[in-house]
Amino acid sequence: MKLGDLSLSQLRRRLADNALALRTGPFVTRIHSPMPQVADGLMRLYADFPLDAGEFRDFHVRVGPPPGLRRWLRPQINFWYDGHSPFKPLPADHAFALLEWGLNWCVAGHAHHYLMLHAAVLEKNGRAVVLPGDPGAGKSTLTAALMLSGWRLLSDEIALVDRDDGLLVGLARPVSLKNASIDVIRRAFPDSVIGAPAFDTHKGTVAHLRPSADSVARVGEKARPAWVVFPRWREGSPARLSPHSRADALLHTASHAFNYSLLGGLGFELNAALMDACECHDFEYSCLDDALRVFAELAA
Amino acid sequence: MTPDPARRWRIPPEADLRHREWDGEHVFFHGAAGDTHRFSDAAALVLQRLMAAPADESDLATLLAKAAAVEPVEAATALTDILGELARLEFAEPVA
Repeated sequence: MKLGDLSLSQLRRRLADNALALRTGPFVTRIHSPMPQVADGLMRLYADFPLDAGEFRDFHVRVGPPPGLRRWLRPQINFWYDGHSPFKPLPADHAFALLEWGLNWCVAGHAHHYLMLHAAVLEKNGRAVVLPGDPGAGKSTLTAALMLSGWRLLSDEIALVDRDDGLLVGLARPVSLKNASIDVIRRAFPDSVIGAPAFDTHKGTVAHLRPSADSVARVGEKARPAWVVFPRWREGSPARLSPHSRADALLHTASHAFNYSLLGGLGFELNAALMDACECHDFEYSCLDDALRVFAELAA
Repeated sequence: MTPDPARRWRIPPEADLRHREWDGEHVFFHGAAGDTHRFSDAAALVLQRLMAAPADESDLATLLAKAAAVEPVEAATALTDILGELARLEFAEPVA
């Protein structure tokens, strides 16, 4: 059964009753929330995701108002993981964004049976590109555009490397768009489905893009890494790839990983094997159409 | 550090060093510290030699001199700097 098989009222009831178990790639999360924004966001962006009927859940999370009088004076929400609250309360209209950040936190903080790099991952023709990127580099914009142009999304934020075979594991969760990139994607892809924006967050305005149905349907297919590409949006720059040293790529991805040091020698070996398997490039662009053309040539 | 041709060096036993080289660039991982560093060709040559077995400074200087096609005296000076840096990062240490 998919989440979209539920009516919105059924979804709200399940969320309120702590009876929704959502499968996102290898993880099952039980989500408890009385917030209508959470139900609306899930219905809009997660309709293609399967619900899980099993007994085991990786994460138990809740998004709801904190206790106390303040909730009546200034509506707020908080995120709980197994009863603990790792974040400060946020305005109530940030509920869905907080759920997304919380789900990222759950994976990044606990899934140590993978090497987890801060990078997007997409696949085309059986080969995957890993896109590490500093904040503001244009990673999520490029990720969204590639997915909406036929690349399969594995992840927007967390690249999961399987410790047994070095392949990339998918999550296919929504792409987090920030600020100007929201309208860039809306204009370039008018049929894209984007959730309600959360304004004035610590990242500015944030809105999430629904993953493609193909990405969700094939989330269980691991992908073979072929490229590590460091994107950089720069006004007026022609779209171009240039070589990036593998040694530097390893150092960069290691320093931005979620658990590289925690995994010790295994983390190094997995990251080094990723570089062994990949061509590494810098990629500058300013125009999405040109960027997509370069990536189409890369994957041809 | 004062040069001493007879001084013997090794990789710290707990370091569990790992190494990769791509296109002439060398990266080493220190397992005990969890640190990853990129080293010069010369430092990498010294580390790889020490990963095989402990060696004294005169052997290491000879190795460097041959690889760089320079006089041993010149290599010995560079070696002192390299070993000092490797010791500071705990990638190599004198044998007590």
